[in-house]
Amino acid sequence: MRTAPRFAIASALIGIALVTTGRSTTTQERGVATIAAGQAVDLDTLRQWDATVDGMARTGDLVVMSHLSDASIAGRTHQYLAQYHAGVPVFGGGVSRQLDAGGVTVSLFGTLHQGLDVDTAPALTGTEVAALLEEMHGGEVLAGGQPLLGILPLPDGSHSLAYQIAMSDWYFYFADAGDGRVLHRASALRSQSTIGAGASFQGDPRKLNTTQADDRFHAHDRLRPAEIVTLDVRFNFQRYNRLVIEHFLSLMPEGEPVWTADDYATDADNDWDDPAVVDAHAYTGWTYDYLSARHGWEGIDGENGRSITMVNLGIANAFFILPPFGPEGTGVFGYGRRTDETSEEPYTMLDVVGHELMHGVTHFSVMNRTGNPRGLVTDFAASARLGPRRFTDRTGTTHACPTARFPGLVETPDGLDVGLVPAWCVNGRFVLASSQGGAIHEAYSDIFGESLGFYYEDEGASADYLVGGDFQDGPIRSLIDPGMSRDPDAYRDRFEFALTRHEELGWDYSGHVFVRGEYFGTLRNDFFGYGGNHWNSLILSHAFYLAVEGGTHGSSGMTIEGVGGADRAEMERIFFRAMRDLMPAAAALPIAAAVIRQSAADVAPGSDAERAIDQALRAAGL
Amino acid sequence: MTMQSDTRSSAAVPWLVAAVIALSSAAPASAQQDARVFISVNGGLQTTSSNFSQDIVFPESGGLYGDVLSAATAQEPARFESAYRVESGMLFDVSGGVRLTRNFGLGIGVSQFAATETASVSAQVPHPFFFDRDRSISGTLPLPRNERAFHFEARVIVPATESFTVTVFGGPTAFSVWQQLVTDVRFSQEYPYETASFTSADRRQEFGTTMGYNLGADVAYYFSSNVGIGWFVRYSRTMVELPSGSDGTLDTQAGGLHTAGGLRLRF
Repeated sequence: MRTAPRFAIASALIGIALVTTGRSTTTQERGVATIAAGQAVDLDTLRQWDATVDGMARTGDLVVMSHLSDASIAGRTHQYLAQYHAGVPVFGGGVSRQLDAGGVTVSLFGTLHQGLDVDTAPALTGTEVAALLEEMHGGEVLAGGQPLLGILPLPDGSHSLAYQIAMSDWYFYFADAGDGRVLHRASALRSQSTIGAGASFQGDPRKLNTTQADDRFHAHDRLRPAEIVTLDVRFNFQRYNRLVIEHFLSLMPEGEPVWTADDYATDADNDWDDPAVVDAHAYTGWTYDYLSARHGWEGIDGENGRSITMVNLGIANAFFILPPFGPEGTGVFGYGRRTDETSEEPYTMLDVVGHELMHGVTHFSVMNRTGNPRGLVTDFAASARLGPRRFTDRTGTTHACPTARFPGLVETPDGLDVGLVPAWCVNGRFVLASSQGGAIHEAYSDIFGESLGFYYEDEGASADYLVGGDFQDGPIRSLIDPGMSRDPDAYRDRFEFALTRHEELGWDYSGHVFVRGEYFGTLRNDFFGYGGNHWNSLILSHAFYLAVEGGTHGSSGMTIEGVGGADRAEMERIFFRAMRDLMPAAAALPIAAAVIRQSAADVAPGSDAERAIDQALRAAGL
Repeated sequence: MTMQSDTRSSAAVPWLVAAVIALSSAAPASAQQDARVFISVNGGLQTTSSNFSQDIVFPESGGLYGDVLSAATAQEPARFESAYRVESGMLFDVSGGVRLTRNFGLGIGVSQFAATETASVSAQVPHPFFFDRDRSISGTLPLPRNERAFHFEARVIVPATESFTVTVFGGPTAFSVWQQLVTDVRFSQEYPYETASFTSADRRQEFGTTMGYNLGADVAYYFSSNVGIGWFVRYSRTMVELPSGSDGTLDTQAGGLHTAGGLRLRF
């Protein structure tokens, strides 16, 4: 069938429009007229197109498929007219027409295919083509996916009579109505998993599991059982604030997101060039895989809940914020970057990402099992004990119970501020404590952050027991040598803090640090409330290292016969099980040690691993 | 993309050439050989087997990821190899011609060979999470093949006795081949995607045509002046180029050693 004369008219109109308006709101390529006639074009162009549409509607080349009222503007209606050729629909052809209350066209948008010269009598029936597709592709025609005969525009400007058939692989197949050949297939899914790539901050190539929507790729992994979403804060504090607390402040149900597509980390071509996004997104997936494969732990929450990460925060740190905060009220992981005058680096190395995700695992594993909404309590002053009656700090100031006052939070007419808070004294002696729950949290995060390095050593990961070992400025902690960061390796040498006790704000850690009950030093005046989580964590994480690798414990001088790297996986399983199945909601380091020993005795009684764990913990004084 | 073709056949060509030379110099036939038109209808075998293979590489892309090899090019190329073996199979042949002189004639024959053979497919599927961790999958699937050949023959007729006729022939052959080829490979996989399993393959029927040659001999016994039975051996061969992959081609042998027998008519 030859091209309908009305298309010649349409072509002429296109030419007029382009010449007279000078606006490329209407384009014509390879026999395709793309119409964008709205407020951006002059009225004459709109009217000319409107007349063309009316003419095509009268001849049956456009068919009104719907006529709906505008939900926002009273009296305004919207038509959609689908293009037909000799009674057969043209796939994708048609226009949307907006009409005002008087029926006058306000806008026209759509695509009309020209030059149609297609015999609309199919040689094969839809049933025959469907059978051919099933034979050739192994799938099945979906129930309700009856073949639809139409004209398929092809990229080279030609057209073919084809059947559109929905198959069981969630694709629409367009098969030639003459011989059944597949001309095109299109996904029936709303969005699709894609594989992107990018270079890590270390320069290693990494695959990224992403999702394509519209014309962008989102850092949204749907290939793993648990979705992994990476959001890009873009150093915008308002965005950060909204993502972290708006869900909580708005009393939204858990799981209902406050984040939108605009918050995604995105890329135009799936070749990702922001190493912070690459690292955080890829390594969150890797951590998921490690937890699943080695420990049978599904997702961060153990229930394959969605994991949400924020990158490009304006802070030099990384963190996990507990539920009910975060963009869905389920917690969130955040990664900033260190920046100085000459360099910058994101806090998204594999061991750092694994460290933060393990915080989530620790939290959810304990919370799910104990019912404690805060998971493993980090600020419980376990094993508090009485210290000296008085001490003199490094400035020469002597502090004595019960009159001593230390910097801490106080209430002022303008809100909370730093002031002096009474020291907590009992029987005339300072009360000393540390956050041992926090130390357990940090130790577990370091242990499994470093375990990831060994698990992915073949992928180029650093397997070195050095926390932040890839940082340009060097590691921040060493499981091999706690002394590197001047942290204790034995329980008796743990850092403790003199406590304060505010009548209304309760107790807190002061900045005065004690070791073995003796004054050790004082933190900056505004640095209080820290319970030594990271410092004391090495007592436990160093024990893990020795249990695996063996060696001599620094402060005790005891020699531990490690199980060796070949049995590292068994050690990881024993430690992981201790947290997953046994750890109470509030634990001190001695309790954690007992739990780990129990785990070893349960799963590997009489084994080298049980012996090595016992040796290492005893060396640490646990 | 590379293609390979391998053929194993009997050493028929020298044998047939010798037969043609010998029979063309045989003694004159008896006078009863006045028939000018001959027709034969035969059934038999194409006894030659041949191999060919495809090696298709889908270039890496960051496109959609799915359980189809061409859609699993997860930043790494994916490839599949398929090996085809055309075994011997049934042959149907109809020939006819005219005798121009006492010992020389022209003829044309049409042979049709059809077989459904099992092709083996092996593929390397990139891992969706990691580089350099291809998963290997393999499977088999039946793929039909049809060959149709028009044999144009110069015929040397040697009437050995009153009832027996020996004919040797040779000439060009026009081959047409319809062959289903694998175009893509489907597989199943699930998290953690360490393995994948072959499920099926997409196929497309390709067509190619080209010229080749044929040589052969026919022995007929006529139990009346017009009707008889006979048997022939023909060797015909060519290489046919088929489209393969997005822009490649594949060479496959067509023809082979035909041996068939059936009805003989002469008028």
